[in-house]
Amino acid sequence: MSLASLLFALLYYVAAAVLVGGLAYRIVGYARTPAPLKIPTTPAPTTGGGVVLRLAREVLLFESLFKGSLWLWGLAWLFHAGLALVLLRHLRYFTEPVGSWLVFLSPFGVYAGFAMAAGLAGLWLRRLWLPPVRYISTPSDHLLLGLLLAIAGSGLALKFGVHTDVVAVKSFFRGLLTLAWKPLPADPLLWLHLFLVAALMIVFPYSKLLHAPGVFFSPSRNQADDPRDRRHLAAWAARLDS
Amino acid sequence: MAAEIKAPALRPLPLAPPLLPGAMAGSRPYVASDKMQQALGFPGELAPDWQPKALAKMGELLGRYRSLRVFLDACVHCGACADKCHYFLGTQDPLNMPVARQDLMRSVYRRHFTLPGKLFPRLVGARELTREVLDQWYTYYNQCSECRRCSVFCPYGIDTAEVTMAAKEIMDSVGLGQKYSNEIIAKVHRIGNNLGLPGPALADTLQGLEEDVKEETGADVRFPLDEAGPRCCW
Repeated sequence: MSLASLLFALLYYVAAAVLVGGLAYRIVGYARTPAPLKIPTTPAPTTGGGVVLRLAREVLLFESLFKGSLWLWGLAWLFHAGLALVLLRHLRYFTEPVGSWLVFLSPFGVYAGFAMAAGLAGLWLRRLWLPPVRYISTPSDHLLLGLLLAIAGSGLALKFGVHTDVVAVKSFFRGLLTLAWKPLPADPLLWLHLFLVAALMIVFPYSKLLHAPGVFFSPSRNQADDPRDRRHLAAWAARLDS
Repeated sequence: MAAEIKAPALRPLPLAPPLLPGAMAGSRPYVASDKMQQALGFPGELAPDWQPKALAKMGELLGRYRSLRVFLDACVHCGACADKCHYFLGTQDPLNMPVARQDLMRSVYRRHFTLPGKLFPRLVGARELTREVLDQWYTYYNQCSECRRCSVFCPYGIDTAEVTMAAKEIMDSVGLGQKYSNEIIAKVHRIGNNLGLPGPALADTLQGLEEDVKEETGADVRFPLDEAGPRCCW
């Protein structure tokens, strides 16, 4: 085991712990905070099933954004759908044996990498180009786009440019999962790719990337519009009543 | 002969209206007087220790409203809301973009309640809650009518009204209330109606109305005041 392999093993344990622990902390915090007001944005579903459908449309199709800005919707959807396929493709580094559905999906994951990079580039150009969006952008907004674009770029370079020993990479990550550590190929481009991904995992629970769990907890999207059928009362508001 | 009226041609609105920073920086409502503030149980004016008190209130609200907590965390600065606010479209003041209006509070939230804001304030756009920031709050949160149009188009349903309400509650709690609403609420509490009409004046007005109705229609209509039982109320 080289020093680099050891450091990367350590880095990935830390990154995974921060990602899972940080997200769990945030999600428990959201879930525990009361939502005293009934504020679903109209037109709102009146049943729980309707809420599930609404959230599914928001998460999978970005319905509200579609109504808001077609260009932004297109770029954002291209990026997120690409990212989802790329993430699914990367599951093959962790599962043994690789399922047939994953084998089927994998080729799509390759092209999805380009879609992801194109979407990110478009989103960044838009952020630089449109004065209102430039006005509201903070350095971290640009940095996160740069980080994601660098991850996509280095990943595509590994696939189409400088190949790395993917079998060894898989045994490294399987080793992390099974606590039987294996060496990582000494490949600077691979190191860059893995380092950037770990960085993304670490900043995830502390940044605007919290929009991913946040959308499920947004009271204007996850409430049924039924306050006349069922009284909606948070515990602290009920105490004010008595 | 009435003059012929021609409707002006519709003016196409630009995709992204040009920004006029500071265009509405001078538009703010009168501050509620100390008497009005105290009548509602708020401090009369800003005390020297207003900042820690405001932050404590903000922490309290973050624990009471999931909406505030999620909305301050989730925004990605995508700008889908920017051209949906009529106050931004009408004034072109960038701080009237819903996202920028929220960021007036989000920047303070990041600085005082999140790790990255404490470590790298410049990087994530975090700001101390200074007097200047509080004055910006007073100016721009009072330019939001809480219509919630922005939340229709936000991919996470972020509702600026929730942020505006929290900001106004925090400002009230440290003695920076808005005259129009606080005066009216104090009158409702003290006198019983929003106009502050004392009982005898209201009785006299109603008596005058009874006389006017009698004169116009010949019918005897009573306008009861403080009586139990009438089926109409106005």
